[in-house]
Amino acid sequence: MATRLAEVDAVLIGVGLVGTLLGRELTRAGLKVVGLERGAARHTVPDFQAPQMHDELRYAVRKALMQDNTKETYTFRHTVSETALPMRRWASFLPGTGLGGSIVHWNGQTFRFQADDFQQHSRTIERYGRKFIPADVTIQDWGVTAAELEPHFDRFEHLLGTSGKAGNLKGKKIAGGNIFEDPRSREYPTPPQKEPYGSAIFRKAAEGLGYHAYPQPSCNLSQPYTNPEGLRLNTCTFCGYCERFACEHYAKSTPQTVLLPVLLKDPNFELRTGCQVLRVNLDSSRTTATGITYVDASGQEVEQRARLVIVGAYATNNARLLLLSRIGRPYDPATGRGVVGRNYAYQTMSYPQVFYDESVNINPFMRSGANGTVIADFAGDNFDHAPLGFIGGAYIGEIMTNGRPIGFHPVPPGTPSWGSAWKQAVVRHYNHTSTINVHGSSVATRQNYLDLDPIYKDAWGLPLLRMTFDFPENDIRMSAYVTQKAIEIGRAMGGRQVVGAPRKRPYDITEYQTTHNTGGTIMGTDPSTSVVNRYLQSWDVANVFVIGASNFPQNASYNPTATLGALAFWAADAIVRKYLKSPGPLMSR
Amino acid sequence: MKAAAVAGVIFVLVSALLHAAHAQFVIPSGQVPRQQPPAAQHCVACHGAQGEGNPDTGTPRIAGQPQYYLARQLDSYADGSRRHLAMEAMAKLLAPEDRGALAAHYAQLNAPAARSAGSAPPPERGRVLATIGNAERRVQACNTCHGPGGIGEPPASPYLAGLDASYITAATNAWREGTRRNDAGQQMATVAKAMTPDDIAAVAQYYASLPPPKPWPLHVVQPMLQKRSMGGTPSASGPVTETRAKGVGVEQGAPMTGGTHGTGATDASRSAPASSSPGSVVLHNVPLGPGDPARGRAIIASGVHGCTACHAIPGIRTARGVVGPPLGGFARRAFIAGQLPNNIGVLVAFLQNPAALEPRTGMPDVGLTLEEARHIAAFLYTLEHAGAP
Repeated sequence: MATRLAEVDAVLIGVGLVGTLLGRELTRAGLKVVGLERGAARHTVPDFQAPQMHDELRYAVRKALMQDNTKETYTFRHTVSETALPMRRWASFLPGTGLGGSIVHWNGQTFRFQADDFQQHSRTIERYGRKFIPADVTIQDWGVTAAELEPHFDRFEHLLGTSGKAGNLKGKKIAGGNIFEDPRSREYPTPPQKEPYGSAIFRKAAEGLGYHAYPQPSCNLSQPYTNPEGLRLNTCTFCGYCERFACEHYAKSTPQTVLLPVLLKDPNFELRTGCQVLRVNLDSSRTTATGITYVDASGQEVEQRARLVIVGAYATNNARLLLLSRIGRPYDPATGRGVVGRNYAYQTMSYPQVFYDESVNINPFMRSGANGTVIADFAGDNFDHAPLGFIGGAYIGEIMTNGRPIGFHPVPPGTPSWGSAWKQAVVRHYNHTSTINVHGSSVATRQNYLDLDPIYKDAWGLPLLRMTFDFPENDIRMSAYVTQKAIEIGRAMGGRQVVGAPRKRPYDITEYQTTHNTGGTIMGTDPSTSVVNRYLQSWDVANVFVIGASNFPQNASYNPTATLGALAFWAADAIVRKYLKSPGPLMSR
Repeated sequence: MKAAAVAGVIFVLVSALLHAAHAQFVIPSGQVPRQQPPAAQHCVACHGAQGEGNPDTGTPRIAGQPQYYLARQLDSYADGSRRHLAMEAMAKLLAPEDRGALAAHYAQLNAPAARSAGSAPPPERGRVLATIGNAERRVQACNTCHGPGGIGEPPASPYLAGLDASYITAATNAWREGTRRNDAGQQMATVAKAMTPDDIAAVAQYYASLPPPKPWPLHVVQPMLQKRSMGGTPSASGPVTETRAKGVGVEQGAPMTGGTHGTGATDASRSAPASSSPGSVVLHNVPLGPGDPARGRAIIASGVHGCTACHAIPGIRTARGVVGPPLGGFARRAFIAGQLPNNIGVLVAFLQNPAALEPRTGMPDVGLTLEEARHIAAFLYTLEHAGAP
């Protein structure tokens, strides 16, 4: 028998980036908010301190900060004809858990999506014609534009203190920044991080080929910064322990460093950790949520009643929670109907490497997670796709997030994979290899989707989420084209050998690529093709807002975090300014 | 209070200058290694013959500090980004190559601990700040950069263990007040400004109570020295942003993850050029010949160093100790002291000063010389398990 707790104004499912941002906005609006986090509470001091935080075996190899997949994982298959099996070890992507969420162990790469990303469907038709979109590709417009999101991007970057250089200030293009970006209202709050040597070589080569190099926007800060919440961030020390690790220096922007200390002091906010949410509860009409049910740290089932429910877990977990709560119609790939689980997308990555003589020292260990130099010439729709026959693109950059001793062992093809010859090759190439990232978009297709697994269950007896995914033909072609461009830049970087291959099928879940899972609860203006409206409000249950990368109708060329942050502020703004004044649907069906 | 502190600093400066003026003619005999650069005569009066420092004048211990760190401080005194009346005057007098030579010299010295070290119990507050930090003030643990036990993270982060408390306090205050601004990212300035005077005093006392680390033994870094031509010091080769540490591909610190303490090695190996300009130093390369297992066994069996009191060692009848781990099958162990990678270089260094490599170890410094440690290491690697055939 579940314990029933008195109704609160709002409950947050997940206290990561979304939960923290929404918690702050809603408590500021006077609401009593309860934040439910399934993982543990953790803070820079005492939990993230070195030297233990630099334990590569514990955090990078054994993935100590990630979701416990002995309790809860996903099942995976490439096509509907296969039987999905549970992912027993995280490899291709790494969902986090715990207070602060996955962003605690992010790299800090803080790009804005472009105007054409938000209107990919209509802009593609406008520029290339309706027939240009392949039959199985289900890309959509987001229902929100870059111009509408700009103030929220701006606010997000200034909360985080992002280090970067503007390339388009109120319409004025600025050389040295990303000239392809949409107009931004202000310069970045802090200047770019220092350019590492490998990135400087990349810049020279890319500019020599006529491309527009710029410093990657970073949330590992270039200088001390005090954000609008009055919280001070420190300068990054280039230790190379960002992704998969938490920052011990208060130098990486995370909920712990930019917002949580303020939120946790707010008497209107209550944090409960160790709370595994099982479902959102609905009333008999199934159009209003009454609250949620969770299992607390002692194993007791608790019903927390709430007037407003914010679903802000990791992207794929958002989709699962809606499926478990039976909110919205599940997607069926056979008919193409239904919405929850629809348009799951990923990221199409490839990594050419440049091998140098021993006279060139790259010093890969002396990096942050986001201090590379990149070009956006092949991102989004920044180049003419008409003769190429695919949609989307990739940014290309010399981004080496680390040179950690266990994980980083670049060797050229033909090197034995073990033994003394391998060891010698590692010693030879460790400090003389530069890696180029080709960070590619991912279109949504009819056959890639998420649903509940019919066989496997989690530790609480609930069906696991099943992922059905393989790289679409469109993205394979995109990767082939842009990776070739990256290899050309690599050749201009003056190494003795450039090695690289585009992304190929099948999707390999045993090789780390990126944690940028998107879709499943996508946003839009048409309830027959989206789960939430343009304000991220459920079409079916008006007091449920679902916020995350799960809202992306398809994934763009850039890293998703800043867009996710802007969407969270955008939704918070709609809730506070519109919904709370007149609770109910913000858009009519 | 503040006036008294200022007066104290002025007194220290003046006396330091006076000492320095006389020092040039007073070179203690017998204690200074023969490679001492001529310019070191400027240093000994205040910093001591072996760089041990002088708590009475607030002069820090500099023996065994990372070479890069020392050279950078001298450069900073010369360019005014670190202020100190006496040191600025000294540094400006020195040619850049002399500064580099001095840094190389003091980096390899192994001076006795200062008198005040270990005299008072360290305050708990200092330990907490140094090892855990302070969440309320957003101050990370000092050890995060200054190494476990405050033994330093070469090349840039100095050791704090065993430094005099008044020096640590003064140095931290200099960051707070902005008279020292020679770190690129303002890390120390940010941290120091977030600390209260009580915090600073507590941390200073804590580190003063710890034993200072020994310099990294050269034989540990020998492979790197042989393989790679190392660059010079900041003095010798210009701005800090230049890539000096050519070919250094080891992890920065983090001995927990299995490195042989990475750039500690780099540092000692960054010697001044061998082509001796006046004042340059040619490091004395200790040959790493194989130790003699028989002599190692004899040293242990002699009982002089007390090994047998704590360890059970196959083949030595008196070695039945149960305080430390049994040493049978030592070669097959993955770790020394449960933390450090088990290889000859680390073992030899560990035997000579266990706490410097693993601060929490129960093993004391039993006063082994380098030679003795090498022989003992050679012996330990011959040991089979007690019950092995």
